[in-house]
Amino acid sequence: MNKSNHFHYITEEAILHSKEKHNKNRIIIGYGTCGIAAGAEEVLKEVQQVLHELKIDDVIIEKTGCIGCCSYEPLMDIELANSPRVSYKNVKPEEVKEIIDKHFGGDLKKEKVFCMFDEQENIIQYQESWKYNIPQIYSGLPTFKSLPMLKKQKRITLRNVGIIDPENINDYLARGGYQALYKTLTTLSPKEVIDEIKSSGLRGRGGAGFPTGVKWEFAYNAELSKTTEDSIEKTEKYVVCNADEGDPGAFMDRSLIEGDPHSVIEGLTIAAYAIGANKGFIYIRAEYPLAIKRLEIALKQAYENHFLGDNIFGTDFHFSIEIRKGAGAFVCGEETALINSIMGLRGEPRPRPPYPAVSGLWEKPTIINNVKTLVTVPVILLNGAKWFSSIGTEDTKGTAVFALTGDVKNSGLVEVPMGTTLREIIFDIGGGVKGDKQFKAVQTGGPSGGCIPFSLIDTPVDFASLKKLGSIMGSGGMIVCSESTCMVDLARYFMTFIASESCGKCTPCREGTVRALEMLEKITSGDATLDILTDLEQLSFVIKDTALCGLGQTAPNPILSTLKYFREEYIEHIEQKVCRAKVCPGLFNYVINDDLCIKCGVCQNVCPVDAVFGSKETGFFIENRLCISCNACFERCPKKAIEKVN
Amino acid sequence: MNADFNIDSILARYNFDSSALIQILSDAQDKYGYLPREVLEDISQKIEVPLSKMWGVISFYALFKLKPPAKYNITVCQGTACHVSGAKRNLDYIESKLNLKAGEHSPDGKYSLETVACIGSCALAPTIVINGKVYGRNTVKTIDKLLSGLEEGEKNE
Ligand SMILES: Cc1cc2nc3c(=O)[nH]c(=O)nc-3n(C[C@H](O)[C@H](O)[C@H](O)COP(=O)(O)O)c2cc1C
Ligand code: SF4
Ligand code: SF4
Ligand code: FES
Ligand code: FES
Repeated sequence: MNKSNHFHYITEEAILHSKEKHNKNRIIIGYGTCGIAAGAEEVLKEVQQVLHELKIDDVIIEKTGCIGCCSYEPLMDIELANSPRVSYKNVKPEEVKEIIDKHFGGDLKKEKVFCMFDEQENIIQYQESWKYNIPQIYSGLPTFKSLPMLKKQKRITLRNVGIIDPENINDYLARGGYQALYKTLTTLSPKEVIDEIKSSGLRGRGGAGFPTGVKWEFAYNAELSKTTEDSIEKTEKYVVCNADEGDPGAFMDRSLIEGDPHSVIEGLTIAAYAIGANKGFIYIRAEYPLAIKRLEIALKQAYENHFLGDNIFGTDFHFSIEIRKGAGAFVCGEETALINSIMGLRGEPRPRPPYPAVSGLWEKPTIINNVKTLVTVPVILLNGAKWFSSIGTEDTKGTAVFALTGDVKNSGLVEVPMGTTLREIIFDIGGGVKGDKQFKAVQTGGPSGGCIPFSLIDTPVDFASLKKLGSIMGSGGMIVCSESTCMVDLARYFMTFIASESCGKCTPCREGTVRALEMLEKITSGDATLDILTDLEQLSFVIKDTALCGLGQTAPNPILSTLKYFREEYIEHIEQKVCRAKVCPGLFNYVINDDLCIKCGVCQNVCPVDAVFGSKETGFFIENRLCISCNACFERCPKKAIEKVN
Repeated sequence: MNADFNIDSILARYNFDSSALIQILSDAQDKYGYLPREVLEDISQKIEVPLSKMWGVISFYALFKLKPPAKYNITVCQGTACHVSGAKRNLDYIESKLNLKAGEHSPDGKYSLETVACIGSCALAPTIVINGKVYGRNTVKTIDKLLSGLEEGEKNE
């Protein structure tokens, strides 16, 4: 059989496989890192146990990735043969038996239902989509796409996450996986691939938003300029997938790799073909062990199916991929630092130019792209540049993927067309602020980004508009802050992070961030005078203008944006020695309200530093000079008798 | 050379390639739980990277450890999502309860306390990892339960 027939053959097989699956009973468990943290492992064990007990043995148990509705984890889905998949939310092990018993008995445990998937939809128009016959008992269940969380989303990058079994290549193939690679290698020239990506308007999703096609073109052309005297051979080139995801509070790339690893491999392979590279690296942070494991499995499967290796699809294109693990250094997400790290060196950045596209790994042309950028590439090649550029804004085409977290009701993964407003993301999709608290700000772009206040909540998201506000799009971290977040403390937090992550190579960043941190600490402990704000601002501008790499240049953004929008909080800390959010230790007190206190003594028991005095007979009081503001008594008091006062 | 510290299989995995130094160190750490001096010397010789240069690399990356791990390694995430959900207070609480600062090992070798800047489970903030298992949505109550669980486990041994 020749290679191209072979590909059609395995795809057909995969589709058959997936159709057959729908003829069987399945239980699917959300098994991403946060699903597991929420208790998916225990749920899985219980499912196995219960099936055994109830003597149900014709069930396939599957694991899937993060569907992005993380607040509802653990999620357990049941799909009876040829019926829609019904998803159950916040499943506790002790509830598993009743849910399964009812569901297999033709009933539903309605109050635990999250949604149902009434159609099999495919963003890549490859496999026909189909609708299920909906049994009577399912009528009235909300469909996945009609959930408030999903209604405004448009999932292109996240197309497979939470839907497929990431450890089964057939699931990927059946949804159009590797079709784009096949099309590319067998019908397109590298130049045509680059032109298509260029005209799609795709901009890199790693933070800076550099046009992807243009970057690839640099590396493509690098070859031509290097064919001088002795180098008759083609210049070696490299492609790298940046999966370092250093922004603390972001997990889009982790979820993508955990939930859809083959799409990363496919995107990277297409990039390699476009620029003429035969070797690729996926640089992934070691803090993501499950993502690494899934990637290893996917790589093995890709080699076995000859999607990687020699003569891919019978062409003369060779390509291999190696995983390189990071070792816990934020700066390694910066591309020149990342290059050093892959070569086994200290991850210190170097000045650009030369840009990696010209001189990168081992001084050869190297392109580095973010996970989300690469995962979007196959869809663009299949659905067309025109289709992609019809989505989004003038400035930024396509969709934006965010990890929505913090004080928000529905935290999870969000993918929306560029141009969607912050309000729509936080309030319509996110469901607004958790509990009955007030919204204060939203932080985007992580340590390089800024805080955006409520007054600007109607800003549409794209690279240009967020930059205009003094924040950045970043790679997709979006943290909602309520009244219980102190903005000065948040700036201090980011500066602590940066000061410890600064690689130390340049002085403005190494020394400047430490000085800025000292000033912020003075303010949060109530030891500053007003003139410190001018100094802080000035220092911030100096760091911004003189630091060597992106880490230092953007490090002052959290300070500058909070000074701009929340200056009154800084002034309160300094002048009144008050932290209105009641976060900064020493700038508020814990006080027991005797009217509510029942003298149970819990607070005294729980206090780790013995700051609670008194006895069950006399009642209790808190000595705030000893208190470390750990909040333990406040949280544990059964009567909510402990108050935080300014 | 202690036979227990045989590193060749790991080195072979990377063809004794010095550019894979970080991978080699990280695999070695997975194997031993930390980076014993003997192992470092052995790697240095076999891939021909001077110890001093290796030290430069090891000290740069936060994940490399030169001390054997404690029996229970408690890692409290201090990422942004966890921070706004009270991770700092949780850390303060644990530090006081265990009488241990982040980065320290308890003298009896039972506990080590660490921080990390995000493990990617931000939707379940604030998170804590104990010997590789992730626990989400922590409060003082869940922390008390986790810690007393470890103590219980100790007693039952
Ligand atoms: C301090 C710093 C950290 C960065 N971290 C990441 C990261 O974790 N992931 C990422 O894709 N890009 C990160 N970047 C951006 C990369 O340098 C690079 O621009 C990006 O990977 C290019 O991919 P793209 O064109 O697909 O966006 C970081 C940049 C800086 C300055
Ligand atoms: S906040 Fe913590 S340290 Fe302060 S009194 Fe309450 S329990 Fe004790
Ligand atoms: S825990 Fe609350 S009710 Fe109990 S003694 Fe303390 S303040 Fe009073
Ligand atoms: S981990 Fe499952 S929805 Fe996020
Ligand atoms: S911020 Fe703690 S898990 Fe991401």
